[in-house]
Amino acid sequence: MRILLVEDDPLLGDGVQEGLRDAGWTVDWLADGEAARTALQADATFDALVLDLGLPRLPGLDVLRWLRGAGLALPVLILTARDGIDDRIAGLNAGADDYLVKPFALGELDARLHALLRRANGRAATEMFWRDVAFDAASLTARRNGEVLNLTSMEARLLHLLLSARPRYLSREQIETKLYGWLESGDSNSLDVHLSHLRKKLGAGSIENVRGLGWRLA
Amino acid sequence: MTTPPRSLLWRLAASLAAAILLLWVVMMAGVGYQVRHEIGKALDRQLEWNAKLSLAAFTDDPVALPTVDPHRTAFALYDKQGRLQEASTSPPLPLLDGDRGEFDFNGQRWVIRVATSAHHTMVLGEPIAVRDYTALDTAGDLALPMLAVLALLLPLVLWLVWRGLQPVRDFAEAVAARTPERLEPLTQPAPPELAPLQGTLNRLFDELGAAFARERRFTADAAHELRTPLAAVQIQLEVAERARDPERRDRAMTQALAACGRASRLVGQLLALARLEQHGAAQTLARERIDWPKLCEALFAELDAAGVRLPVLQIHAPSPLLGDHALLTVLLRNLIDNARRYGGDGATVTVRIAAHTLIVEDDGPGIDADAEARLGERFFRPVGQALPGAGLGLSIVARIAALHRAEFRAGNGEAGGFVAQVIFPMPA
Repeated sequence: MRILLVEDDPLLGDGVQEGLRDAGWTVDWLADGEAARTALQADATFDALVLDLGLPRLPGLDVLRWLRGAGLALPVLILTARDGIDDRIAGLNAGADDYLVKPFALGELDARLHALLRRANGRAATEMFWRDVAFDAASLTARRNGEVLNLTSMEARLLHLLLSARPRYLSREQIETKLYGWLESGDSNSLDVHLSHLRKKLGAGSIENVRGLGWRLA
Repeated sequence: MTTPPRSLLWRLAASLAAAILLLWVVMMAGVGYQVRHEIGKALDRQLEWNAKLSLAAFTDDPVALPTVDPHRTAFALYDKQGRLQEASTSPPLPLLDGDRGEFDFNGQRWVIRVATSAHHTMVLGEPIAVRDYTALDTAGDLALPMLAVLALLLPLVLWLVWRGLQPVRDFAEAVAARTPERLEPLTQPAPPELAPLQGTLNRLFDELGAAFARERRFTADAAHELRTPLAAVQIQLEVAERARDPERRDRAMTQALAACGRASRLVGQLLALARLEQHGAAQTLARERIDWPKLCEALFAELDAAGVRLPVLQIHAPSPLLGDHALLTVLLRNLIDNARRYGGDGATVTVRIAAHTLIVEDDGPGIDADAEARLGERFFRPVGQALPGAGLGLSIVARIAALHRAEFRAGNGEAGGFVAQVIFPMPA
């Protein structure tokens, strides 16, 4: 799942980016509001926005108002140093779905982002099911009949993408953007490698590939 | 130690009461004098008349001499030749030239009237003291009711003064209702005497309110600004904890340390600002003769020890300046730090001190217009600022400059680069 992080503090932004990547998210990080707006205009493949409020150029709340004004339903989690009730109300009223007050734990940010995405996709359960496979997005673990499937991080994220997109197909470009974001670009061969490994672990016929459309779980 | 001024009520009441008493005394003296004068005139006429009457009576009937109270009246009757015929006293009242007079007789001063007929002269006298008693009696009769009026007047005055001071009490109550949290202006109609005070207070409330709001905002901002580096510390440590490969763990630890550094730097700057505010409030600024070359030398030695590339120093005939050596060192260090930060790696920082102006400039790219406009804001850090900083450096510089009554200007120079100027006041 791909997240846009907008945070102007270099040390915090770096830490959140690293931490969320470790937790299996694809994170793109921008340090000012104006750049965030441009990115959101140009790229519709983000699954969630993590937004600091005290941003240079364009304050976070303005980014949020613009986003909602433009009719984008992207889940938004606000990072704020201000924990006054008025500040929280202002944030939620401007269209935020959730907020975290600094300082916060990485685990909580991760958990809240998962919860946001669940809600955005209309799911209540933490696990996603497909055939006899249960996938827990928070821990990136998959079980088949209660037995843990030994997936690499990349394979787990790939499975997560396919599960979330089901029954739609995902194109190569979509998968690559969601997996790598802007900064890391895996070469296209590596995606094929990951897909073939995942298909092996899930069983033959688990992942369908239609030329021109992409991949999906059968 | 001076005694505290007495209450307005007391002052007004006391001075009014004293004034009324004084007026009463003056008035009573006037009345007494007037009464004495009028009684004197009336008794004079009466005496004259009595003298004539008794002379006429005697002429008609030589036996019909007046019977008199010897303490109040005395008479003596003389014939044409000046021989005493009759007298009520011994020695008798003497024969006088003219028809009136005063003289001492029997140990008292007497008023004398003389009536003369063809054959006799009647001398009739009265002691003056009698008149004084009468006048005093009359005045005393007048004084008592007036004293009673006075006794009523004093509480009345007291009450009127107390009532007259009601607007002052209302005003005091309205002022007392103000707290640092509630400093709304006084709006009730005030009497013209209090209007200037009300205006001044309202202006003061306004300024105080703004200052309090600024302080509150600053405290809130400061707390919030601390949260970001703390969040960075926490997140980086979590990343380090979870990292499996040592390289990433080391990197996260380094970042966490940097965030700690930022937090402590911010705390240090906040403390510095707080101390500066105290300096301002307590006016404890030192006034030492500032030796710029020496100050720069000491500071540069410190910077050199910290591995900082030293600025170019140009000192040309600096004006004598009285100021706080330590604070001015902080000011210069902050400006140099700022120039290094925003000038970029390759930029040369120049410190120029000439006459009463201190300039720190760099030949870097300067800052963009948006950032230039927000330069003085506390906690403001331009976009893309990767070096640790809290955005308080220039606030501190501005505060130190203000404490020295110096003007502080900062912005992009005409020839590019960032220029900070501190213009100290001309020595008086």
